[in-house]
Amino acid sequence: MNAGPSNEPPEGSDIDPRHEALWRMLGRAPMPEPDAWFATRTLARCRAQKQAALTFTRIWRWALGGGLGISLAVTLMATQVQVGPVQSQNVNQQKSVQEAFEIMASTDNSDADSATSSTSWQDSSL
Amino acid sequence: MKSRGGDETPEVAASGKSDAHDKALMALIAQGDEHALRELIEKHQGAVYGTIAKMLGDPIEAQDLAQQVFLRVYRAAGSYRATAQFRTWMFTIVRNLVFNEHRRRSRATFISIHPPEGEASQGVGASGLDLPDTANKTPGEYLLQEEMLRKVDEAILALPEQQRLAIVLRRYDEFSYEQIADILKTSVPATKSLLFRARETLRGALQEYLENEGAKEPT
Repeated sequence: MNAGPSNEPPEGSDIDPRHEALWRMLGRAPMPEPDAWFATRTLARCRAQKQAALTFTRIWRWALGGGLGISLAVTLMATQVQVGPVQSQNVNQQKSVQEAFEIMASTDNSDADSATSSTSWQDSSL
Repeated sequence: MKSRGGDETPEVAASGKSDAHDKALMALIAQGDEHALRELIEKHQGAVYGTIAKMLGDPIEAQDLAQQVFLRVYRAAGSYRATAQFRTWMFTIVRNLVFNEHRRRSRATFISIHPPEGEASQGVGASGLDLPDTANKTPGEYLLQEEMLRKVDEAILALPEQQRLAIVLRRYDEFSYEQIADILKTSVPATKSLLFRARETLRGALQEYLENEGAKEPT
């Protein structure tokens, strides 16, 4: 700091200055007084600050609640969207397996038919 | 001026009572009691505002800063722990705000808390300063007194901020060396040293007026 106080007080610093002419002169320049409405204005400012703090808390509460609600809704929607395609993928897989079985079955049938017809051809040739 | 020597037991007792009352008020404020807050403001507004005005030399800025002090006191009421004297704690807030304000002000301008000569005849003017015993003075004496008061304020304002606060707290707020040391966050010997240097500087700056005073004294 600009004062640069040392640990050791200078000689004479212990002398009570209250009887000095300087001390009396300083006393003649009195402390300025605040105006009559100072306390009222300060109280109003304290009240306004309290009100602002309450409003801020209320806004925060609503914002926090709303944010939580929105994030919950988004999470739910996201999980639903994720379930949808998996289900349709399963159905498609089931369909393709079924179709494969049907093709295999029809192939088997045609083989059996041809076998039968050859037999009958053989039989008729006999 | 009140005594602060070794025989100050009644004063210490009174200040102890006052401190206990301040702490009780703070407890009430923490519970939301506005009457307690008003009482606390009304009790300390003179000292807080006066100190800041003396420190800054600007009565308008002092109003705002003094309000900020009480706002901080109000905000801190819930968490306030009565470890130190309430007044000392409150003036630590004053010190922080005033020193911050000094740092904020880049240019060294000051406005005298005494009104200009033309406005001084209004008595308690916009600055709220009541000039003593002006009615019984001749115009010459009155002008001399005006000039002297302005010089005193200018000399105080020219002191380094630590010395200035030390001298204002000691001379006008009547704090003890220990309390000033607590407020300035320094030791008692360092506080005495600050006050000594401040007095020396002021004595040098006001030499002319002190000599005049000395010449008047015997009459």
